[in-house]
Amino acid sequence: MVSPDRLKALFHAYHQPLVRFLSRQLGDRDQAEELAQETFVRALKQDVIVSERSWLFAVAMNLVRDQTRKDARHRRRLERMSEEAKSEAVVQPGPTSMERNEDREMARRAVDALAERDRDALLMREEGLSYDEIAAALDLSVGSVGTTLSRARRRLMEAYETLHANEGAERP
Amino acid sequence: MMAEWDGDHPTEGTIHAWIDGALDLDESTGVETHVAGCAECAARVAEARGLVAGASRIVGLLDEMPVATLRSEPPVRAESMATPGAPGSVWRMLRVTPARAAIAAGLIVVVGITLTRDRVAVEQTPSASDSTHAVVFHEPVASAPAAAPAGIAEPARPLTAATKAVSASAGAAAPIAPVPSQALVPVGELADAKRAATTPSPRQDTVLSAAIARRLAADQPARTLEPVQATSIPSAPASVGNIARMDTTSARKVLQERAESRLAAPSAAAATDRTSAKVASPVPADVGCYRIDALEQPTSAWTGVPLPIDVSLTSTPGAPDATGAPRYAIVPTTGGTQIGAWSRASGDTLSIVLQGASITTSGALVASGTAIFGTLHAMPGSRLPSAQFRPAAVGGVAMRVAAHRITCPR
Repeated sequence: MVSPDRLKALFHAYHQPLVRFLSRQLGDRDQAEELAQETFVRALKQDVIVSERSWLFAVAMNLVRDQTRKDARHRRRLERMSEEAKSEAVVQPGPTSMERNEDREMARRAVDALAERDRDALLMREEGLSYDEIAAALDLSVGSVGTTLSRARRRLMEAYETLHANEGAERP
Repeated sequence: MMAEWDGDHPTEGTIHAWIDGALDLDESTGVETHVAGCAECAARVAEARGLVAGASRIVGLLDEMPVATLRSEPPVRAESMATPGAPGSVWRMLRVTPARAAIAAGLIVVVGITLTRDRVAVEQTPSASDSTHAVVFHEPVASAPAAAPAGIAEPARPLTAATKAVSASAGAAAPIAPVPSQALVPVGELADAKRAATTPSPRQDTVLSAAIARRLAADQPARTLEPVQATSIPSAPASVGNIARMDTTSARKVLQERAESRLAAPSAAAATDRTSAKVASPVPADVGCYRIDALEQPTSAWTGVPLPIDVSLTSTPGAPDATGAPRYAIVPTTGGTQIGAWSRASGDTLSIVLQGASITTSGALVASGTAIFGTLHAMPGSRLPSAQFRPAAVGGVAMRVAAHRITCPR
């Protein structure tokens, strides 16, 4: 059982990175917070955690997997609804926020297009996890983390740039 | 890790690992030496740096507001950063390295918070750092957070004077006020304020499960602050947008009425008590000109979790300012590096951390759970409340921040 003191320290150190990691994975802040909570609840039940940050991110990642499987249908439906709502919105956002939203949307699609493992590794790295920690969380060899990250980064950039190019072509 | 080589050349994965500072010393030296003598690999390194920075930027776009993600730098040795033919990207340069953070934190001397009743306290003699680098927030308001929109829309008479004085003290050439109010409130803030109006209830449950909170609270000392009840959270944000669009007279009238309605309870003495003793009270308090000494970590009144700010106020006032108001100071606890350290640890910019610190401490000063609450809930994954990134769910905070922002000397 992790001690309350230890849990407090863990929460303090990793809650924000976890929520951000989960938000980026899920594209949903509320769900991210729920899963972050669930991660800490699981930590609470754990007897011993060797590599804490790896452990937390690995648990969070698995929760994302469960969640996305569960929610796949639900999510698609909500996305449709939100698209509809957007088109019905009376207040049009200014050009700046529109562009920003487009960028975000393209980033979302580009990240979603990554292979699961590539995405996990990249988002973990963005939260400052070391190669060792990423390897532990993803059950990879340390040596292959660099390869995984380089592939993830390259593909992400390519996907994003392709989306951008297409977007530009569609504009009048 | 084991660096992989493709014949004489490092693989792409090895180059990324090198850039990420994940290679051990020998491997790193090997890559470095090779890259220095191989134009082809130098170009690959440059490309890889672009990919690292670009991917980081794209990932950052996923967040609600695109910001630079200030991940702490891996321990890359200085010489390995200076790779021939591999200029660091702007993005990379923007990252806060420990050294930069320490320097920046060192420059941040004081977050002054103006807390005044029926009077605006102005720092007449800012220190050199005040006028150049320090973030000095003045809150020229007649009362508590809810009255802060006075600063947003059209400052009332004394506020104008204060703003001018602040502006002058910062070395600005032209007086700030009055300024077209619309220009002072970014669209996003108005939208957020509107959204805030529709979601006023605290969402403690999303921060930390009650079960964990209880566990954590078990060994927590007595609370210094109590949460504000949902009903006492100022409901004003609903009209922030309206006020911003009103003409001067009606805006002032609305603000005046609001100020009066909120000034009913607290006396100046009570405010002093609250300030010095940090007694819990959800009552809107009077605000004076304080500097806040940062000596202890504030604890969330909601969860008992220490707030992610390593500054807070002391109850010991410094020398009074020109108007006689006591001044406190936010001072980073260990030589100016704590804020930077926290910034690196959290991935937030120094500016955001500082603004969060400002809100936290000003909230503590006025014993208003609103601001504390706001701070806690301003973590959309990564951020503390600030002019741009404050919580949508808390009304008062929005206006406090807006007021801070527009009265902050440029």
